Amino acid sequence: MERQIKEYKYMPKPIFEQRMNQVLEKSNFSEKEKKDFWEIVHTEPINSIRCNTLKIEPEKLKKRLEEKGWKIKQPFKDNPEIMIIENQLKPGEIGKSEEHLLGYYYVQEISSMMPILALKPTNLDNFLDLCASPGSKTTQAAARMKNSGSIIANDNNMGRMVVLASNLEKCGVSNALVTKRDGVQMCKQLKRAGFSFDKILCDVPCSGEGTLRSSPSTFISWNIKTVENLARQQKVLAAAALEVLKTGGEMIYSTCTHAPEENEEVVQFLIDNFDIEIQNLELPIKTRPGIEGWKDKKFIKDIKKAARIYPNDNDSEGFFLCKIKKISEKGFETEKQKEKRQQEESWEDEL
Amino acid sequence: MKPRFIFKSEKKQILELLKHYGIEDLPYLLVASGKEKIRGYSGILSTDEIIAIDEAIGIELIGAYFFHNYENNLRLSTDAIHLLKNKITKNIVNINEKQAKEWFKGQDILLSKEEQEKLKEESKTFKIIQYKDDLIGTGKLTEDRIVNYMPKERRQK
Repeated sequence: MERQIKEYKYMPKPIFEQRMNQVLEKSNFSEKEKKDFWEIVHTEPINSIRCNTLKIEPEKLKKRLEEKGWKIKQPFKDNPEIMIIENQLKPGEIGKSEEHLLGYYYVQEISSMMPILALKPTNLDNFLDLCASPGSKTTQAAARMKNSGSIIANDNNMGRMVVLASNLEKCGVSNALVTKRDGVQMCKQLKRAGFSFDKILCDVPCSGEGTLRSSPSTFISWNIKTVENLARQQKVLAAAALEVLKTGGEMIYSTCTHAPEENEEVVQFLIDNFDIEIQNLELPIKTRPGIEGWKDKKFIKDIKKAARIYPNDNDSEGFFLCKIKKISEKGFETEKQKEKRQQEESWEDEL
Repeated sequence: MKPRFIFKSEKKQILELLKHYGIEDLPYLLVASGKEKIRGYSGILSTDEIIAIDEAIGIELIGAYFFHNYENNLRLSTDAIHLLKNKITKNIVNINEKQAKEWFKGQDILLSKEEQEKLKEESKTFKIIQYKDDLIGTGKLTEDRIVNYMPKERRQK
């Protein structure tokens, strides 16, 4: 398919370009691959959809769409629900089709389908989607869970929650509870009430460096302060999520950015404060390992098990994901809590 | 939203009303949403667990919107129709391509004299609208038309 090259009206800020090149080097990019990266981020993303298996089987949907003249490719044998539309469509055609109105497919970028493929929620799981809007991954999880098990889909913003609810309705999701809470507060309250989850998706708000193809305005809105602020929030959010993950449970931490501060550094923070293990990922697309260090920071060796998805490797958007297993209940302590615990331990020793 | 679950006797009444569509069983936990809307939940949480979650964090929505009760006439939502399609056997009206196009745009389906004659004996109530293999919504049959209830955000622009 011929690629639509956008006018280069959004050029990356020099500091962003310089940082991004450093990240690419850490991911062992050759000069040619770097060139490919900077070329592809100025092109339109491909059209990908996910068949909503709660309503229709992939082969039936494929046949129907092909009858409309769409050229459908199913790139992954084990995931026939994932489809790429190879021919050019008219503007808006993908969202206006009858099949879309009936909720037979969900327009979703391929890399954003990876967290649920990695997490593999089942119809026996209690699953929490902490930052769920617009619902692409929640609906994907519900389909995998065959509308059984249990989903809590949360978003802290009213407008986004309305979009989430609308997408869940359209996809016929009936195993979910929708909540509108601050993620950190929600986890604290759930913990207090004694709830915990088998699987959690912690797909946090991020600086969006991976979405340059669909949102080129990120080129101009990006700034390092935002990255640093988001990284702080992401640590708090991911730590809160781990508090309500069952021992032996699994969590995917993911972002659609390449910034190591928002990715490996957050995972390292979790490793330093919780008894967790990073798990291997089996994904059907090309990924590169998490990077082992950034600026003056060194990360745990296992960070290599995390996956970095770069747009030029799969003709997709960029993404980061890491699968974390909780080994025990040892959790995060604030300095004050740590002090109190140490004091109590010393009293016990004295006694 | 404090969940109001629909238990045995009330569910029995609803099942009676669903017989209009040939639906004999409904393996969902039913939850009232507002005065007339009913939602269906298929997850594994018990009612006690749902109440405890609601008390802890507040639940905005439970499950999927299933039907609207108009004085003991149930109008099924499009998504409920898809989830229950294997159970629906009655009160289905087939439409043609031109009518389906109008339906997707949110327009009522105007019936020709011939169609009016054909549907003369049908009860003037809610019908499931079928186009080819797809059940595409619920409409209300009147003398000369099928009234479209497709929500605005789901209409073809």
